Amino acid sequence: MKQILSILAQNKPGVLSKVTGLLRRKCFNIDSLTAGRTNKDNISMMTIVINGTTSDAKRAALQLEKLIEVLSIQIYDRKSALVREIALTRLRPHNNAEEKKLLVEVQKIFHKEIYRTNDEVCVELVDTTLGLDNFLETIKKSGIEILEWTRSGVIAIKDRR
Amino acid sequence: MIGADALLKSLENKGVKRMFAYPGGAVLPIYDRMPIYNIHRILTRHEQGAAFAAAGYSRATTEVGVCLATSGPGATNLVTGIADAKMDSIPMVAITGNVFGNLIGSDAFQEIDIVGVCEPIVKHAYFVEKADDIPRIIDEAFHLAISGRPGPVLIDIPKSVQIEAIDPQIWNKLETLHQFKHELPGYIKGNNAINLKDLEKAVNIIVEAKRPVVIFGHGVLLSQAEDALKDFLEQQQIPTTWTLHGIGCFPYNHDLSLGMLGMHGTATANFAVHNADCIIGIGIRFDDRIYGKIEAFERNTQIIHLDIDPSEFGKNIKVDAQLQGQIRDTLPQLTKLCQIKKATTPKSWLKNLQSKKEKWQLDGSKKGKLTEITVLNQLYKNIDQDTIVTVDVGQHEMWAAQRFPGLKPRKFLASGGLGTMGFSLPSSMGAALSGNETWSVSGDGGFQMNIQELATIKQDNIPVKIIIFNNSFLGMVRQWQELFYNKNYVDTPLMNPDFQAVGKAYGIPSFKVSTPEESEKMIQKMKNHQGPILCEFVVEKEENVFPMVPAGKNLGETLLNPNDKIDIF
Repeated sequence: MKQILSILAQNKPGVLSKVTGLLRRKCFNIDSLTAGRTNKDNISMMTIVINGTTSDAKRAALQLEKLIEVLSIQIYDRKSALVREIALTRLRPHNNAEEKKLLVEVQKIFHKEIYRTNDEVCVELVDTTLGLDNFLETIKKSGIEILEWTRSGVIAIKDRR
Repeated sequence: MIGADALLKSLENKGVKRMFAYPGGAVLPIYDRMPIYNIHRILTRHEQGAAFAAAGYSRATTEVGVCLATSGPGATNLVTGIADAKMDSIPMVAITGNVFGNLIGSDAFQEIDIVGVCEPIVKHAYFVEKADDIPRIIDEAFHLAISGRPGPVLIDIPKSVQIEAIDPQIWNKLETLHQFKHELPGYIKGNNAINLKDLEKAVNIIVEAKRPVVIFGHGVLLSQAEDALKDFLEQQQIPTTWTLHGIGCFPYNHDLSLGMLGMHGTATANFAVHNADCIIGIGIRFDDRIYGKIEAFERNTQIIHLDIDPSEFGKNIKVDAQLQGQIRDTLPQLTKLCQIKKATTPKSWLKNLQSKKEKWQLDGSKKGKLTEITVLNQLYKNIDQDTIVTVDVGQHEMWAAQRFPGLKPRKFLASGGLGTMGFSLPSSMGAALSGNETWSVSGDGGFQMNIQELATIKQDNIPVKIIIFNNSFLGMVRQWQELFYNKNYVDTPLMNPDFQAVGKAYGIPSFKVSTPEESEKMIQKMKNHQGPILCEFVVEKEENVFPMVPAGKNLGETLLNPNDKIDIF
């Protein structure tokens, strides 16, 4: 199971390396990691996805809380959090109608086109991890050539619904 | 006034009277200023010696030990000592110099990223960017080192910061105020109010228990909770065992005492824990040297865990009720509620254990031959409770731990978690400065790992009584080779120097004995001697430590000797 640790920490040099170093030392496997500034000065947010059980996540959080720079930690699973990822991709459809049509449809439904040249399309995708995985699978199967594909890793926020 | 002044003045303000240090290029500004401050320097002969001496001082007193080294190799030489302090939760502040700020990151001469190197082995590490931060950082570092679960704190100060002028206002503050505002919003000391639900759960487990046993450890000592422990045990009449670092926290000759637990613990203690239906761990971390085999340890038993560090709950062993906080605060609450709920321990359990204790006595010493056990027994007979004994790592350490349970807290000093050879001699230097009579006990292997500290002992006339056991082997490793590797003694036989001659060369009165009679007299001679004294004890070569739980076996499989197991039911 994937567990999400949402970590608020002081924005100081070396904090990211301390967090990841600690997780490595304690044998937690990082699936995805994002870090960025928050609305508060000098406080950053790290969202780390690890593979493991709820108790693994708790153990990891207890260890991380011992770092002086870590202010607080929330543990989420898929149900308790709103999860989003961004992907950027450059795609090159072959010159056949089927692929071109698919691309237009996929874009229309989910995503934003950033630019288009005569032989490639650059697309921005915002979705859940699963949504991005599905998109990637669809494109792979369609035969459309993927020139470049990059994704941000997960960010998460509490889902009160 | 410059950064170096700020450092030294801050240390003075924190009550630092002595510091174990070694000079070098990147700490020259600090050394230049040292003579004008009231801090006694002890010049060790290796930075590892400085780190261990600082930790030894801290272990023997309740103060924060301080060591200082230059950049690069000076700093990396501290690393083993810092790691040792981390594993054993010893409050220590380690200060290193570093190259000029503008050279950081350039692979300059003697530059090392010591903050990065030490990240996994410190409670916190500071890289100081400006001199004006020094007073606050020193204040924070001492607070971090000693509060909550103690541990080592590293402060790395570039040379440019050491010579930077300090803001006169801050200097004024340093001279008048001894407290600076901390910037530690994320620091949790762990002194939260106890969770009442957990407390009730713990008491219910104790009420139900038919065969309860207490394991206490270093946390009791660090929390100064010896009285709370005694109150709890005596009220509840629960038999108790202890870890290596628990030695001294409870009278060993008490009816409830079972002796030390674990790989080389007493058979009775191992039997009790193996058959317990309720284990109460007080200030321990359930490490692999005491649990033997997890599945066997956890079977049919409810586990209550008291500790200040919540990350210890469930880390190694399952926990059924956890009480987080200072032991001196949490344990009395448990005692009180147990009394209200009238929890009692069946008398038959205690009786059973007492008869086992009678039956499974520790092996005596061999007649006519000089063994380590003989010498340790002679030593134990000749010292009082306030004497400090620092041991090294290996066979003699275990023999001493089994036979020295009557020392007071902070008197039996060992490298428990990291198990560092070379610990005894330098840590005894720090310990001796507490003013108590101090003995350093080492084997022939470990002694040579920090043998250079004889020079420090001589120079500062530190009154350490040094025992070296020479059995021409790395004894504990040899024991494992004998028992598990078909006596394939690869690199465990040692060709040793003449330790007596070495001691003399350093200018320390030195002796050598090889019979029990000589040994007895020598211990008395050493005891009565003022100042440092050394003796090499030439002992039997192939003795083994028993009882023993072979690695991977459970506590019920404790071997009393190579051929005899304890009867587990």
